Amino acid sequence: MGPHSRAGVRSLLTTKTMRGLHLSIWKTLSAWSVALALASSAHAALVWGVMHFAQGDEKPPRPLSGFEIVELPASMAAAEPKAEPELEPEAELEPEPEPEPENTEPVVESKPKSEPKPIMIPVAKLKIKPKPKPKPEPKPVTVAKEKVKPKPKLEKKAPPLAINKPIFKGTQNLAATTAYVPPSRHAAYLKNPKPVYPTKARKRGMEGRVVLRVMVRRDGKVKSVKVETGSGFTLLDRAAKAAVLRWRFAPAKRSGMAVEGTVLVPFDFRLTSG
Amino acid sequence: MEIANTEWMSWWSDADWIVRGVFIVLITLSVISWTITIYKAWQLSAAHKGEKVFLGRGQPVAGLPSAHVMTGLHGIEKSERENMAGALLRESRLFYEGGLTLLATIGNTAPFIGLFGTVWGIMHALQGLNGADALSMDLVAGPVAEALVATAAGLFTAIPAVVGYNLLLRKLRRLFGTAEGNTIRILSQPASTQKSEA
Repeated sequence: MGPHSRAGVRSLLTTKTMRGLHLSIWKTLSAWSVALALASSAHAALVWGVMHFAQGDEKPPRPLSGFEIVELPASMAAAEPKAEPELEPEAELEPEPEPEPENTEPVVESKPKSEPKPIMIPVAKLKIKPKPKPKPEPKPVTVAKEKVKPKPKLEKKAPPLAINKPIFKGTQNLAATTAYVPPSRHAAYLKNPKPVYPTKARKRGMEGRVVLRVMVRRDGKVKSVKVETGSGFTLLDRAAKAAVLRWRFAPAKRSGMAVEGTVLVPFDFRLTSG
Repeated sequence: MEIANTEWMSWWSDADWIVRGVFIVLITLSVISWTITIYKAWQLSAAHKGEKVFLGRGQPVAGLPSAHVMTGLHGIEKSERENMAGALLRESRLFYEGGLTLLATIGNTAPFIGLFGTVWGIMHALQGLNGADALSMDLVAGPVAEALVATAAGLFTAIPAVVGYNLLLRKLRRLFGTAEGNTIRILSQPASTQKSEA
């Protein structure tokens, strides 16, 4: 019995002192740190190598640098709230020249420069396409311009815009004095920033056209924004909505009196190979 | 280099914190498993070399299983020596096994951790697309490819860990094969010739 317990204690002690016996603590520590350094440097080299090779054979799948958000002529979307017809795709193409006196395009073009929000500037240069003045159908041009892929989707989305035309025709016929003038976003003193093209959306090649239905109050502030025609991507719809919510409009007028009004604001989100 | 850099960074900035966390954990585990493998390989190799040099003659180098046995046997009665030697050898084996369990755990769990990151990433990618009525292959493939980075990282961690584990297990067996032989050699020596100090 005696030897047994003594042996047990002894072996326990020797086990405890074994690490000390094996090598000095410093030697063990330095061996560990050498191993750690080796492992870390192997990983660093590997990461570096992967990055290096990734550069070699893989180029960005999407043109990230070039993109544009085009505000389409407001005329395409003017609507009187009362006479809102349902949007059915029957009135597809009625090429009709639209006189659009209030569309002072240069103002729009200067917008991004005076834009106070810092987000838009750094990512990439924002190309603003000079707006085709009163050209009723900017569509063929835009489609032809895009070389990036999601074509079918875009073309599917094209019809809804043309739909807005009959609405405009309706308002056009009213007599000038009692005319209902829809809310306008083009008055010179309004500095309405364009939407931000979300980086994620650009990376994933999301393109599309968003048409927003904006309720404008009498003071020109935005009462509500609804997505009239979605782009198909929540990201883009949200970006457009977020931008327009901060906008100021010239309120709608009926016989010279400011009234609440609705206006359709279309955006084209599209990527270019800039 | 710069292009690649920005691309990697963009992948990083695109991921949410769960995916990033998975990635960080996997890289850390990988470094740990490599460190263990390197250290243990060196430790076991050195010990095996020492055992082969010792072979029951003279004094074993401090820290070897034989040294532990020899130290522990000092002053033990003759009838108990054999049992004691076995116990000491097992103790020593436990000590030399240290780290192997961690290595095996890393090898087993790393693929699942990576898979978790991928599933999470894909879930989020698909949620981001929920508004799209016509999903093109392109739009789905991009995020999925990004999410698969996590699985790749998991495998990248797991494979060397498993290989290292098997390698170390083999080295451990070799070491203790020799150590058992040396223990028998020690036991066969007359007790009076043994010295207590290692």
